[in-house]
Parts: sequence; structure tokens; C-alpha cells
Amino acid sequence: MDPRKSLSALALTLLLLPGIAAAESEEAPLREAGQCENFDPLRRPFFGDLHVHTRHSLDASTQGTRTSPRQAYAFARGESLGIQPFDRDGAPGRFVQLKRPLDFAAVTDHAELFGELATCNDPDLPGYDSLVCRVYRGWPRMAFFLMNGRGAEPFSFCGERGEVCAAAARGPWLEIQEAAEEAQDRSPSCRFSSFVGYEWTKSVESASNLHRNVIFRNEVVPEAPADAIRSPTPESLWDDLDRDCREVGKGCDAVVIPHNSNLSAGNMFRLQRLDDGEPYGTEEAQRRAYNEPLVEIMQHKGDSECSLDASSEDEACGFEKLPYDSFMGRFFTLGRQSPAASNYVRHALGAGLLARESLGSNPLAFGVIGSTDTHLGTPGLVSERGYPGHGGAGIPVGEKLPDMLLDPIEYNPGGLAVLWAEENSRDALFEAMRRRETYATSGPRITLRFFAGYELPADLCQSGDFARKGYASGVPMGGELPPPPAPGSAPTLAISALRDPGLPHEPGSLLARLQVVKLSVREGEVRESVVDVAGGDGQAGVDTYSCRVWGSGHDRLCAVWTDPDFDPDRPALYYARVLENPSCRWSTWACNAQGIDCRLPDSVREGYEACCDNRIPRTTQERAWSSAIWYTPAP
Amino acid sequence: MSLRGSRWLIFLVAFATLPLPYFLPEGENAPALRLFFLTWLMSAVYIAEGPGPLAAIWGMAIFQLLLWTSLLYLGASLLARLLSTLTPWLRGILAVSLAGVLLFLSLSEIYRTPLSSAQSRSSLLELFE
Repeated sequence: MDPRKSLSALALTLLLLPGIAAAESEEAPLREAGQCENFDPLRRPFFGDLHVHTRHSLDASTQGTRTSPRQAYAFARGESLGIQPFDRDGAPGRFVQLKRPLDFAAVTDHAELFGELATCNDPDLPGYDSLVCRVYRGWPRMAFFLMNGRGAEPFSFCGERGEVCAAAARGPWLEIQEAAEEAQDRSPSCRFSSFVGYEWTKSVESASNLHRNVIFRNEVVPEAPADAIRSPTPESLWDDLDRDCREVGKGCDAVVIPHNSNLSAGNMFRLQRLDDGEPYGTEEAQRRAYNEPLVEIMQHKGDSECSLDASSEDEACGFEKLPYDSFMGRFFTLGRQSPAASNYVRHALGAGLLARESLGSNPLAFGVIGSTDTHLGTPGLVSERGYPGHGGAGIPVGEKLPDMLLDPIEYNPGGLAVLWAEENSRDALFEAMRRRETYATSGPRITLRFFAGYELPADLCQSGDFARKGYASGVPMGGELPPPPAPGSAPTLAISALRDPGLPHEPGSLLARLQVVKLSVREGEVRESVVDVAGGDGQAGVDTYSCRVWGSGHDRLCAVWTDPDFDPDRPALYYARVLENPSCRWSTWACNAQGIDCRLPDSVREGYEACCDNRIPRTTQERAWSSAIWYTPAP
Repeated sequence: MSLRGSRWLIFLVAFATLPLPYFLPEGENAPALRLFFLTWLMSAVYIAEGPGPLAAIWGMAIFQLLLWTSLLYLGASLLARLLSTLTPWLRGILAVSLAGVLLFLSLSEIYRTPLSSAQSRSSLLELFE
């Protein structure tokens, strides 16, 4: 054999080897090796926050936030951070720090006004002395409304076609990328992963929310973010991500994560094009499912799981609900609309089952995550106790901390995103997002595992290898069940939940109950059932004046449950939900700290009236939601 | 003090100090003077840049400003008429005393101003922050 040909063949093999390995790893359920020393083929839960705003977001900077993306990542890794109010010398009036660092985070600033904010903050940029920028610096709260409601037309200082601000926007976009790069732990210990990201901030009539976060797989990202001005519809956003990222062929990839469907006035999950109202066809359904494999079910501005209306029998849906269905309702109390069921994730999951029957593809087959949406640049700051407010559409803090509740009382500290991955690397975490092996928590670090299959052992909860057998005989959360192996077979679900261990002096709450939520299609309608599969047998509560908890609960809840009503001819999905025992809500901690006692009217000071509003619960029942597992009948 | 003088004194001091509710697009409880200032600020931006989608809020600001200005003037006129039965000297004393009390009270942080950049409660001296 010609030695040159042999060498060429060897070189070609070496070049192709990584590609072959990658292709094989996509087929295999578990990867064999990674880049981190703590690689676990059975995967571990990594806790993080994929929704974080810093000073580059208009609504954060106009409420006093000065946190940079670098500082936000440092905070996520456990460093202390000074936040507003700042005194005249720039010294912060408050400091915050995570008791347990996060495993990953993404800074996701609103991309639409990057250039305008950069211009108004940098005296060397043209436009710094414009009237709008003077208002921004002198009266930022007014500027928030004036600039945020501007729409697509550029300000005069941005140039005729916005080219001046587009050029200025490169500064913050590069800073965000550099901050993510610096925060990424590339050592074998793999302690922290960062993702480059941004928020696509589109609203439609009555300020109903279509906002989405774009999370990139790695450091290969487009030159400029596809914001809601350049890409004004979700469909054009996906087009631009294809053109500027995936088709560039340098390893760029992204997922798009909608959030706050609870504030979308029913628009978030509409299956029609935003520009012309045309109903989705099969291709658009597939594109949506590919681009948007996840949805954020929980954050500062409420829970989006399920509707609490007269038709609902699921009492646990009454959790962190906003009393309005769009941002307008936050400001205009008279015109408030209560959120309809179509605003919620559960309804959308059901609509996806129906859509699959007509479109041949499910456009709403998404997994779930939680996050904070912090506008203080404080990823993962989810503790109910000592909650400093969220700094966005909440209570502004300028030079002085106002003597009042630091957030609208209907808001909450937000949740966390949890990704099941073999290691804490960007690739492994991103793949977890792609295959929807994710879950959401409302803050606590509950560990939740969920498998479904036809041959899962009945004693799985007692065996020491829950995960190995789960992967071997079933599919994990986010997966799709295959057809039954034999007539009469029904899927078995195996669910395990471990309480948040907390800290030695501050343990997490005990678990109360483990539930399965099932949606199925029958006679063209979605049927819903919620089954308690473990727990629910104890009495527990909390003294809201001292916030001391009492009663019994569980360190671990585990169940192996076979669906007695399974019909192989009907599409269905299952997801798991685990509830903690009740504990004090953030507002109760804050009101108690101020000495507010609703039994003593004189103790209720101005600014704290909401403490005694009976419509606001004084306790909360923290929880975790798994991504669903879908079943589709064979055609 | 003349009838006209007392009317204008009461009107101007009330315009500058009397807390009034308005919405812009967050609710404040502050003097019409602050509403005038914020409306002026908005108008300046809109004249320079065009109102865009927020023209409705601009219209709402102007409407509320006109409404409160008219009501304050009407109230000041009625009060001045009530004082018209008094001697000019006594009328002057009462009008100036009323203005003094309002000005004194306004130096405390009695106004609710969430649109302020510095703090959500303000005094008269902080109305333009």
C-alpha cells in the first residue's frame, strides 16, 4: 500500500473520529466519557438559573441596578454582591450572597435597547447628550416608560435606520460574551457553566407577553442578537437563529425558552403565525418544537403551571398566581382580566396533544424549567426569607430603601432550572435541554427523577439502582414512550423525589406528597387527572407569626405507579409534581420582620397594608415539576 | 389682600403642594406641579422624537393636568369667595396662613412618587428628582 495513502487514510480517520463518536453518542442513551472528572453516566441534577438581567436591561438599570454580567456570574458562583440603593459615592446599601452556589447560569438581558443604553451611559458615544439620554440619566423611571414603549422606530440619536445604536450595541453584546467566557470553568473540576444568552422581548396588544430567552450552546454566537425589532415574530426569530447561527456551521446552536405565559393573555401558545394569523402547518409545528423544547414554568412574576378556575379540581394550582393576565394589569387595576386556562402550560401541553392529531407533529411538546428573572443580577437568589425584591417591574429602589414591601406582593422570589446531565459542561447541559431531561423548582433544591416504561420493576423504589434500571427499562422525563410491547401493556411510572437537604443549620422542608398529572385525549377533548402516588399522609403546617413549621413529612418520596386507565389508542402525557410541606411566604417573613401583626391595626404601617390582604396567602407550598413523558399511538 | 390676590395665592400654593392622585402610567399622589413637570418632560421627548405608541399616555397626562388645574382653580375661587366677607387684612392673614401650613406640611415626605428616580416618597423639595 502506498504509505502516503495510508497516512492520508489515517489522518482522515482521525479527523472523522470525533464526528463518528458524536453520532454514536446521539444514539446511545448514556455517554461513556466526558471532559469533567466528575462524569456520571447515570447523570446528576445540576441547579441553575437561565433568566438573569443586569444593568444592560432597561427595566433593571432604570430601577437602580448596576450589576454587570461579570458580577452576576460571580454571584452565581458564590461571591457577595452589593446592590441598590447606592449612596452618592456609589457604595451599595445592601449585600447579598448565595448560601449554595449555582452549577450554571445565563445572563439574558433584554436585547432590544442594548445600543440605546450603551449610548446613554457612555459620554464618548454620539447621542450621549440627546434629550432622551438626558431624561434616562436624570429621570430613569420616566425614561423606562418613554423608551420601553417606543416600538420599532429608532430614536433620532440612533440614526435614520438605527445604525448608530446598532453599532453601540456591539459593546454590551461583547461584554456579555466575555463575561460568560470568563465564568466558564474549563478545568477538569467543572464547577460552573455559563451560557451566552439574551431575552427577545416582544409584546402584543395590551402588553401581553410573548417574551422568550435565547440560550446558546457555547461561545459561538451571532454577531448581533436577533431582537424583537429585527425579528418581530417568533417565526422570524427561529429563521434568524437558523440563518445566523445553526447554518453558519461553526458549532452554533440555540434553544428558545418562552416565559410568563401567565401574562400573555392567551397568546403565548397560539398555534398561528404572529404576522398574518395563518394557522400552523406541520412544518411550523416541527420548527416550534425544535426551537422551543422548553418553557419556563415558574419565576418572579408567578407560576404558569395550571389555571385555578371554577372548572379546576386541582387545588395545588392555587400557587403563586398573578391576578391579571398581561403586564397592563399590573398598572391598570380597573381593566384587569383574570388569566384564562389558555395562559398556562398544562393547557398548552393538552393543546399540543390535540394538535399532533391534526398536524402530525406536536408543536407544544416542551419540557419545563424554572428561573428567577432577577433584575438585580442575582441568579439563584430564591430564598423566601430576606427576599430583596426582584428589581424589575417591581418597586424601584433609588438612593434610599423605601419603607415598604420591596416587591408587589403578588410576585415571588422565583425558581430554579434543573438539568439532568452527565457532567457540568456546556455540551452536556445543552443536550439535557435539547432532550428535555429537565425540571423546574419553585426555589428549593429538590431532586426529582422520573422514568416511564412497560417493564420497570415494581420494587424500583427499594432497589439501589433506580436510575440504572430506569434508563435500562424506560425513558426519562422529556422522553417519548414507545408503543406497548404487547396488547394489554400499560406504562409504569417510576418517580423519586428527595427533599432539599438545605444547610446543616437551615435544612430544607420535608416533602408532603408526590403526584402524577396525566393528560389524555378522548373524543377530541383533553382529559386531565391528578393522582397522589406517594405521601399525603401527614399533617403539617406553619405558625405564620413565627414562621416555625410543625408536623410530619418525608425525606424521600418514591412511587412505582401503573396507569389503570391507559388506552393505547389515545395520546397521553404524564408529568410528576412534588410538593413540600407549607412554609412562610416571602411576604410573611418581610411583614413579620417589620412587626406587622394583622390582629393589631396600629401595627400596620403605610406601605405594608398588603401584609393583611386576605387574598394573598401567608404560606407557600414549594414544589418541583418534572418535564412530561409523552405517549403517541402508532399511526 | 385683594380677592384676586387671595385666590391666586391659594391656587398657586395648592397647585404646588396639595397631594393629588394621578396615573402616569404608575399611580402617584403628588402636587399638580409634579404632574406638570412630568407632562412637560414627556412632551419635550415627544416633540423631539414623536410620541410613538405611547401617545395615549401623553394624552392622559395632559387630560389629568387640565382636569386638576381646573379643579384647583375652581376650589381656590370658591375659597376666596368665602373669604370675601372678611376684611382685606383678615383675608390676607388667613390666605397666607393656609399657604404657610400647606408649605410647611409639604416639606415632609408626604407625597407618593414611584416615578421618582431616588425614592418612592418625596417632599416638595424632591418633586423634581
